[in-house]
Amino acid sequence: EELRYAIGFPANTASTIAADVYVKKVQELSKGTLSVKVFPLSLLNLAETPGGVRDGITDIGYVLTAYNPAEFANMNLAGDLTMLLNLMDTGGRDGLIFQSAMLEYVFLHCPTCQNDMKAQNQVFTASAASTRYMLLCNKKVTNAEEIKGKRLRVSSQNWRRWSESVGATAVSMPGNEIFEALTQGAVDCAIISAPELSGLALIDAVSDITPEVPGGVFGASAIANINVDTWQGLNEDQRAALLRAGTYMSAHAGWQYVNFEGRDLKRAEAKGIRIHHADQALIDQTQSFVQSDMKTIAEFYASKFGVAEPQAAIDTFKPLLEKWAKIVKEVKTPDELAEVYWTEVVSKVDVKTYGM
Amino acid sequence: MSDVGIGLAGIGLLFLLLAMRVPIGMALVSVSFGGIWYLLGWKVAWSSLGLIPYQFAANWVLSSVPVFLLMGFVCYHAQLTQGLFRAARVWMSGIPGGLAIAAVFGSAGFAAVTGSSIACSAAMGRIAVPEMMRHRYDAQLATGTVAAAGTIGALIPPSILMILYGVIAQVAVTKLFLGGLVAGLLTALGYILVILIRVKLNPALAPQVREDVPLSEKLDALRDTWPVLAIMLGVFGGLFGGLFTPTEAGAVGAFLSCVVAIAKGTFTWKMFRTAAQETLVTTSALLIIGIGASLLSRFLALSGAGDWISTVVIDIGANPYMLLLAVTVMYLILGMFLEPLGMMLLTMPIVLPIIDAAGFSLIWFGVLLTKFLEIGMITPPIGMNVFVIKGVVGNLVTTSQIFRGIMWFLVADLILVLVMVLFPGIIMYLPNMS
Amino acid sequence: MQALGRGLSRLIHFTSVIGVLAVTLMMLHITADVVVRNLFGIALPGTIAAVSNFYMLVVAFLPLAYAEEGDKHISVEVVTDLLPARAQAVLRGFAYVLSAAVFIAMTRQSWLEAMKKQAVGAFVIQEGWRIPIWPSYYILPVGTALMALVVLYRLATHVTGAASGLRDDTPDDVVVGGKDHG
Ligand code: NA
Ligand code: NA
Repeated sequence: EELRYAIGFPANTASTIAADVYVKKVQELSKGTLSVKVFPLSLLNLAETPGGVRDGITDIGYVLTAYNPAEFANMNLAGDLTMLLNLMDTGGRDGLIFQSAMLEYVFLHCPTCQNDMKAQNQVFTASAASTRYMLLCNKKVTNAEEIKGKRLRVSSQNWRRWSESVGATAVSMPGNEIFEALTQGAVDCAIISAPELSGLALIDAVSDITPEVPGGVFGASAIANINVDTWQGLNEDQRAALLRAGTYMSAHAGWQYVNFEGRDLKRAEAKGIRIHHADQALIDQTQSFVQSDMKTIAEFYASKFGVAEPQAAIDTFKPLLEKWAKIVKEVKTPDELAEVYWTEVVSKVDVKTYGM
Repeated sequence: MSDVGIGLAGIGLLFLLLAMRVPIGMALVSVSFGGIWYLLGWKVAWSSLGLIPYQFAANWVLSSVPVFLLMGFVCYHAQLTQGLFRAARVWMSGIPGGLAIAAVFGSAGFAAVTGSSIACSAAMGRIAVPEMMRHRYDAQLATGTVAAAGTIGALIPPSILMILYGVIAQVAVTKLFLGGLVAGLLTALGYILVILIRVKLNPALAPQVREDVPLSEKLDALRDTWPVLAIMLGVFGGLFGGLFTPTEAGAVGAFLSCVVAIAKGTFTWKMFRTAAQETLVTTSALLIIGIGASLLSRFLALSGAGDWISTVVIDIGANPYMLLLAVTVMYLILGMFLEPLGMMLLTMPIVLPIIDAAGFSLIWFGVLLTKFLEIGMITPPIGMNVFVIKGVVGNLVTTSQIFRGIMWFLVADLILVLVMVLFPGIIMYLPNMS
Repeated sequence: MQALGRGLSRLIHFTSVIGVLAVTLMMLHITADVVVRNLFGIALPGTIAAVSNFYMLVVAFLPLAYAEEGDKHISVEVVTDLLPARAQAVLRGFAYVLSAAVFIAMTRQSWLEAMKKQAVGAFVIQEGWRIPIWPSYYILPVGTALMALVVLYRLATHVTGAASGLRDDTPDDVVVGGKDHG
């Protein structure tokens, strides 16, 4: 049986490169009873993917749950906790730590997340996170003085609140407008991850990078959600194969992002783009913002999204981040990380009942 | 039949429906729906019909299409563009073929406030053609000039075609605009040369206009160009000065043209309502085609026919110039019959991956593609610009006379295409600088 | 029959008024956002959502019937113009049948989608505001249903030869209209 896998990114991006590994693993683990055909951006775009998995246009889809705030409120709540990474020693592996915590959270500790998935007719099997979000600017922005009054392009509410807390103006715009906005000075900085230097070609629009602030990652990504009807039509061995292959998808996607971050920052330096250290006072200010923002997030999700116990969710998620910060530090290869995902998390999922 | 076979059969069926005069959007939707049904069953077909139309239209970047259209319609109906031709006329009156050259200049100026070439030839046709006929210009030259010069409207920014191309190819619209500016100016230059050469060879085509215009009147005529200049300055100044993004530029431009119309005393609610109604009709007729083409590209992806065609073409056109030659010939042939937007949306799912894989710049190709589509606007048998001019001149000139008048300009266009292919640096100079 | 056509025509006119309002608001809203951002350094909440999730849908789908009434949907005439009048009439009827089928199908499916979105109360978050977008999903079936009605009415008058109560051209005098995008 051939399964369609819709990924709303073009070929040769982190997710599609990881998908090549996933295709091999599914073939191997299902003993040839399943194969996967990847559609990079040709079948569904990112906005269409959640609905496309729900309706079975695709069997598997790369779902960014943040695109559907009403439908995936519980997973998005966890996704909004990413700035907590500022409070721990991440060793530069922010994204890997976050996606690991998210994987464990959704699989084992968040029944409401599972209900949201079920209501959208899909089964969660993998997660990934971007690398660290930083300031990519067309001028030097490193301290409280310089950031005041600047216009920053933000993609989510965390960074909006952070921007306002440091006296900057938050601007929303679609990703493919950032290049022009930075070139023409409609914004001063974009808060985004380094791989977008090549992904959105920002390397030609940016002159200064400040990696330490604001931090956080884009982590509300259910990167291999499977249509429930497809899932239930498979036998137990096949479902187990897809769960196990999902650990490879997660590990390789996140790992690929890390590789791209390193590569793109090197390219930027070679091109003469200045990479700055943020002023310690701005870092401290950011950390105290993160502390107080947790309360805001809890209130926000209770009032606007009707999440029943947001504080309990935060209290569950935070220790997971701390746990995975320690584990991820020791991991040497993506396959090793996939193995840890299996032993620590996915092997504990009951394949007889999961998603059935 | 294999899946690829079904995809190819779908393309065949699509052409059959188009030949049967089924509206393009409806033909695209029905073929894609039927094709997806055949490949994957009714459930998937129905779902894609529920999901994709909304997502296609609910698009921020696409919102610049209706507002740029509104800007052009307001400029035309509020008569903000008339002074432009008058100025070009009084300054060119001494030169052989001066009125025709003035029409080219007028079109290039109007191009800066409209996103479409039909609007451009309609507006300039009404102003310039009667003037040339009054001065006993050859009918073929007079009508051919304005129909051809209209194509500058979609090359010089703003350009609806380039905005849509940018949305689909995921490239920066401002870079396309800068490339289009060069292509548009070169097109104007080529057309002026054609006029000069023709009138030199046969002075009877354009009798010298004996108009002794005093300098004071010449300067006075310049003053009348302020509405267009003010709008251009506002839009491009704000765009490149970082006040707003290309998507927002359309709305600002439409607003500015209303303000200028009020200042000029030509703004009425009736005028505005007419402009807005034309905007609505045009936008919805456009977007239903866009939705159909979007569905078709899913069908081609699912069937594998898109990949198959790309592979075959790449194998044939191992030499990149052969590939470009094939693409050029394809667009010239399609352009004879099809309407540019439909043609662009129809072919992009297949052509873009090929061009990308062959290592060509997608910015450069976007400009070249716009040029191809615009040539289609003036080639027989279906040439929209020609029909627009025919509508202006009524029974005075036949359609085939206008097409004959166009032939000379087509030669200039083909030479320009050759230059753009052989020396891509000319088009890419400005985009690479920004 | 004619009375039915005139009724449809009035309905279409009403949607065109809403369309004119939407395109005007879109222009004013974006301009206001630009002005406020540059003068005061603040962003109007929800501009992108209002434009892409409301105005654009009104502008794209409500005027479908208005364009059809003025016969401004784009097709390729080149082949059929060579055929005898009788064959042209048959093909025209076929095009109406196919168009009606397409828009009835779109109406059904977009209605179901709208109900799904209403059930979850779909919204977006922008500038910290919670902006419900599920009502905008109903704009589609309204626009496509009206379009289907006009096409069916045209089919009926085409087959019976009855006089149409529709306006056959749009109220302006311009040649460009629906074919303006080259
Ligand atoms: Na233009
Ligand atoms: Na043509």
